[in-house]
Amino acid sequence: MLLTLFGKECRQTAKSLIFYLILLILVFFYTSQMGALEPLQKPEQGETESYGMRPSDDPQAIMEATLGLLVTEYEANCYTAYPVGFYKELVLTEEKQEKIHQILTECTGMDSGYEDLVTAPETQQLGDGSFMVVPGSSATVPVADTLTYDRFLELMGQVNDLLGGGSSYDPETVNQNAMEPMTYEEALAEYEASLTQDKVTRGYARLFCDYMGLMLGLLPVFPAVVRVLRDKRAGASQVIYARSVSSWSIVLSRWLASVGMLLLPVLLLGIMPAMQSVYYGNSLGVSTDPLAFVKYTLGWLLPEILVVTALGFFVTELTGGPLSILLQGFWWLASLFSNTNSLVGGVGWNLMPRFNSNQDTAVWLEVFPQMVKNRLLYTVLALALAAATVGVYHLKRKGVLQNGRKPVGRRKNTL
Amino acid sequence: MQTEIVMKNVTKRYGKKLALDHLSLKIPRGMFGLLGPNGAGKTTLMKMTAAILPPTEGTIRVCGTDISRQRQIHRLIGYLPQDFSMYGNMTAAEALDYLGALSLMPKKLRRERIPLLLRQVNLEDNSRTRVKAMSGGMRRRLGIAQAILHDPRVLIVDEPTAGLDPEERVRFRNLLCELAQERIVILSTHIVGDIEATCENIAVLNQGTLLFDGTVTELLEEARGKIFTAQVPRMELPMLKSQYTVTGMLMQGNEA
Repeated sequence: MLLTLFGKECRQTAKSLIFYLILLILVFFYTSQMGALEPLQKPEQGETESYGMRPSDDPQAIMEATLGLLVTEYEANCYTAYPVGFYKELVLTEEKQEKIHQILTECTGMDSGYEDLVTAPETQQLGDGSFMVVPGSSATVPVADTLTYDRFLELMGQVNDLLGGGSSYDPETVNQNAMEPMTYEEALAEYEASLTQDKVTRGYARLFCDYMGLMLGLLPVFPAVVRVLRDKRAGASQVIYARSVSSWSIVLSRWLASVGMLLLPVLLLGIMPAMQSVYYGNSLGVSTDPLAFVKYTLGWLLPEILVVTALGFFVTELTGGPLSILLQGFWWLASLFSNTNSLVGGVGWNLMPRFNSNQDTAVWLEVFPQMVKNRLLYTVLALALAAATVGVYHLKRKGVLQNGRKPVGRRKNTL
Repeated sequence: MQTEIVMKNVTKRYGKKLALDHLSLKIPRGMFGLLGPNGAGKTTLMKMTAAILPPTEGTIRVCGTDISRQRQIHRLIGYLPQDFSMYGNMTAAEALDYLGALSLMPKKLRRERIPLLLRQVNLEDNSRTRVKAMSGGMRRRLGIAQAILHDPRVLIVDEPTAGLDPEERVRFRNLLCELAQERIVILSTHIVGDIEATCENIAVLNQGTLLFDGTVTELLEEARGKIFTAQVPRMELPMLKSQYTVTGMLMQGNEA
């Protein structure tokens, strides 16, 4: 019976306005953001001045660059951070400045004289009489011989905490303070990895999921809310409550249909770039993975759709109103902005992991285990929310709950 | 399995408000009328019998099954709520098919029964009419069709004739009487005419209390000597109203 109800729910969704609105948004977002895929270019030695930049993996370079930044911000007592993704300038209290000073002393071996290391901003007068401010650069700071990299990371963690998180001193992202130019050999190795390990198609599939994931972190909440409120709006709740089907079948058929009807257009949208990337792979003479888009969509995007839809169902069933749109909006914004510093490989426990590159195979392989954990967490969370929704629905059906509270009031003329 | 509903000491409270007060009732096969003004507790009693609202105290057994066994009860009963409607974009046939699936009816059975029921409730020509395009009467008839779709042994209809025109009302009463030949039909209403025309057994509720339980004849017998008809000048009407309860009036020139 679950399958029968699932089919009926899918047909109902296919007749709803919200489904076509979401379809339009997805197609518009896909064409405007991703557009036509750029074919992979093999780097040619000597043809270009730069092969791109990459975060350093040299502890000494990372420590120097990070401490340089810290000295500059300490001297100005003006720190930049992105708590939950939003830009924020911070001025610390004397007490906190003193703690930063102690950390700097341990890291550099210098107790004072930081101001000499900082290049102050300059004001220059131009020929036409106008003025231009040239910003100061980060200080170049010596690192104490006794400082180990592990201790450095520990101290940077303390600085990050003092700033409220989201700063350039987050131990997980300090390597991005020291960017290095890639050598020809490194660029060639990256290209080769895209061909052999990613089979061309997988890299493009990641880029596709990166873009679509941004929309799927928010959009699924709308059909979920509409579906739950539809019973109430149509005045059909009681007549459905009085049927003999189980609450599990009712809720699961609705939830899975909402998920399925969002997954379907995403899978269809992936057909064109999948064919394009297979064509690029074939023209480069490497074997491709024609199902890469399906695999990545199911592994990456499906858990996201599951959890956003499940949250929408649960909160709407519990409250009887569209509160979940607001909640999901906050979650979406927080997820979006907390990853702005790491567009390639920003995974963590973020709802919308970022990987805005069709190459960088080594970075992908590094973050892959975390990606698996992340997606598993959201899948489990989605299942838990779905089970909780069944519980709430069942209690409402028995008349024990009425939109999250015990029934106390009655409609006019019904008592 | 006996075809009767037995209620014992049923009480329902909404917070401090007492909606039903220790009500005991036995409902046999056939048409049973539940009469009372708005706010008497009829809908509360209907919902509890349909196992979508738990009693605060007391027990209700439908054909021997306690209402705490919700799924079994839902197999036994068909319920037409007071404000029945369905998704506006569904056609009559689609709505019945959806609700039939929710009653665990196999597809083959749904296909057989839906055209028959649409004919029975005189909606045969409207099977493809969307719910949102239906009149109040058509929706009520669709409501009856969905309530008897899975051939329940008990049919609970809450204020089914409210808002219907006289012709629809007569058709509806006849339909309920036909259905009551082989099952229990509980008709809840505040319209005395509906009860008088269809029910042999009735219960009268007021403010959550059972005032009467018996046949229509017995009720009329109890009322004998307590109800009078009088023709009075219109001028005397306010005085009469202040001394007696006036249940009906007909104005004729200067007399009432």
